[in-house]
Amino acid sequence: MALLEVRDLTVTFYTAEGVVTAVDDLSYSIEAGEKFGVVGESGAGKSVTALSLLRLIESPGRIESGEILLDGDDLLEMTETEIQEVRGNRVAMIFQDAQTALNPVYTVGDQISEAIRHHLDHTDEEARERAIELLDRVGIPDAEARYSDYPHEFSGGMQQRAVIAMALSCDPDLLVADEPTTALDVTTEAKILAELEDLAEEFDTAVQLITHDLGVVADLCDRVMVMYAGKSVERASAEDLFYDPKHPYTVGLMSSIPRIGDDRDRLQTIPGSMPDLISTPTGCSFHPRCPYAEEACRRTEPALTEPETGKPATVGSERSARCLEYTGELNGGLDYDVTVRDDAAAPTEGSQ
Amino acid sequence: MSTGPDRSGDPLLRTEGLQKYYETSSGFIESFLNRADQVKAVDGVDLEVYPGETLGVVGESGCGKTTLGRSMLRLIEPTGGSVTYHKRNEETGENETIEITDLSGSELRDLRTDVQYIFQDPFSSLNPRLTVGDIVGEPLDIHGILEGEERERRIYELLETVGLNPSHANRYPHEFSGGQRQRIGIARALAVDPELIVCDEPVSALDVSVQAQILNLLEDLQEEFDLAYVFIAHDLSVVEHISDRIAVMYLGELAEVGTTEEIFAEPYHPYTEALLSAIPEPDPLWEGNQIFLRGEVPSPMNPPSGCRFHTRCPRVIPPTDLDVDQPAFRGVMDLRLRLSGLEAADGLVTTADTDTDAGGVEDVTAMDVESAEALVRNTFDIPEWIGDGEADDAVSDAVRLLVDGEVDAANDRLEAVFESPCETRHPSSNHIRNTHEIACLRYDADAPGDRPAVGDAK
Repeated sequence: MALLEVRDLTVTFYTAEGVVTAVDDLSYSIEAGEKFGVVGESGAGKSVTALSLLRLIESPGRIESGEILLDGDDLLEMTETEIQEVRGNRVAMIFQDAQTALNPVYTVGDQISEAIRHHLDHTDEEARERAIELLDRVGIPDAEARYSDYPHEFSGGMQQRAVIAMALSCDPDLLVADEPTTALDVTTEAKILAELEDLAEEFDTAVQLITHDLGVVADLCDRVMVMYAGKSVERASAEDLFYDPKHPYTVGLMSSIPRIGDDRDRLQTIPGSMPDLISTPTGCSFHPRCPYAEEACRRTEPALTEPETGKPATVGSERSARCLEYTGELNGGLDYDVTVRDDAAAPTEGSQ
Repeated sequence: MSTGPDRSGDPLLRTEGLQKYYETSSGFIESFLNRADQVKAVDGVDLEVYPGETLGVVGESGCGKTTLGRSMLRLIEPTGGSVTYHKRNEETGENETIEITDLSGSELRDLRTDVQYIFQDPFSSLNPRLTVGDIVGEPLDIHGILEGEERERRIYELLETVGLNPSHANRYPHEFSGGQRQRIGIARALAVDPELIVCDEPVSALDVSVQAQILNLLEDLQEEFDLAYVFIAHDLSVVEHISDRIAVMYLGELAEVGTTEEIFAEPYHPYTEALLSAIPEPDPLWEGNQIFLRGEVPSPMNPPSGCRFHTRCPRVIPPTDLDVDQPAFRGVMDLRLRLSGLEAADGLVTTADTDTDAGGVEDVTAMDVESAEALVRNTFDIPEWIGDGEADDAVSDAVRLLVDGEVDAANDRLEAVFESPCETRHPSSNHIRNTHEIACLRYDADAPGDRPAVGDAK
């Protein structure tokens, strides 16, 4: 059984303009110890998905339907007391902005030991010792002295390290990291990602990493899900996704990032921008921006399909893509090349 | 990218020794007692921007790249140095030299028809109470360029140029997405038909697919209007894509300047080398050797002596009379840095540094000298035997002093033997090739130590 299984999750927000379907019938699973990436642009529903895992969606948002199974227990059926036991203890979260995740009027150390005392039933002294050990473990020099510093005395990178220490304090099974390094400089980012990878290994923690940065995904993740307009459009192992993407949106994302050492004068772009989630386009929600769109795409909403077999994909499918191509409903087919590196790996022909 | 603009003539803009210090406190008492600290945000920057080229400025947050961009155009007042603008006279074909740093307020306003600025945040840089048409038309009004119907026509034309629908001129900024707002900001900058635009992180707030659209737009406009850009960004892959030349900044100074090809190939400034290695490659099979820099960027309030990068540099130069290899010397430097920030010797070694499972902090003052030395050497990656008698003696002496709790004395003992030229000498810019300058003592012919091979350097 997977550690986490999300089934048919739908989250909506009731706004003055209309009902926003932020997450639309989403299913995925994460195995114990796995590093699972969720990629997409703003408005894709990545963060809403993450918040739903801890039932942190607030009004006007609502989890409409679905199941979120953690070791078989449905988080959506739990009472408020039960879910509080899960938060921080079995599922912990790291947010993008470490500064707002830390309370400015308590010392960093106190905030970490509070979580330990609350969930693990340690004495004050034990909690303090464990907090220092954790601060130390995430690479904060002179941890004992820094224990009694306030968050503003930490730099951005150190704040994020402290937040990671706090998230790991109760040895969670799943760590949900929402853009954990986006606000950091590239040299700090590299260190924090390496640290996160080591810690996940050491604590045997599964990680759901949410990011818009394909470089970060490639660096850290085993499997990846690409989201667009609240839906999963492709799911694959990191290697397959980068070397042999199956969905035109994934291909668009890959070719719109500038890569060091390529000498294209122009970047390929995806025309337009993410649709308004109040009135998503009919049929395939990507069709207005898709270079391969046909009449069928406007009418028929594609289902998640196993690209090799053309069968409907399940949560357990190794890879899946949401494109009519794989159910044989496109006339023109897809036609693109993917070059990850100039020298290695011959371009993969995407047309079927 | 490399077909490149002509850099043989006068530069469009030149900064010499440009400097911007901020006072950290404006309180009366502090200034009365002369105790206010200075943040050296930009400290002596020499740069040139040539017509039609894109000069990328990269560096980590706090390195002073935004301050540099703004003080270049006197959006903030520099505290030293000069900025010179060469204005081409269309009739004579001669260049007129304008000292931007000497201009009066109204002269400076006139200059804004030649140099413009695009801001990072497309949400706060547009007045929410003006329509898009008025935002784009404002520079036309201020400089009295066009009026009435011609003004309208020009606004429509500008909106079309940046890929917006002219019929949107009567809408307000909040009705547009981030990418569209950035286009509005670009249209506003283009309104006066400038020669140079300073773009401050113009795409960092945008999604990747939109980012690519804006980058392409900037390149198209450059070609169409023969614009020069100063492109400030923290994202090296974006800078590599768009720039003809790149300047790398660290703590208010330039570490390296060169063409994009030169910056992305050897010889490197050690800081650039580390920056390049840290970029996460969008390739799951990529196995690069990432260089992890120790610690964090020091405060610009009190930057390190000599070369500002010496506190983190993986290639810091050992004194000539010592026979130590690089990693061991870096280890000793790290030990010294730790000591200089330490209040008491018992906080020296923490368990994160070692592989022991014992919780908390290892107290060297409670150890015998031998195990303390083993622990210190292990923690700071100093080998058991450095290979130079004098060096090993100094380390042993220092540990003995630490066991006695004498942090400062231990530090002094190490400094006497291990003082690097990088701590005492400020590196000047060394021309590696014509267009490639590296501010690092390793490339300085007058500095002690071995010089790395620089290929066909002159």
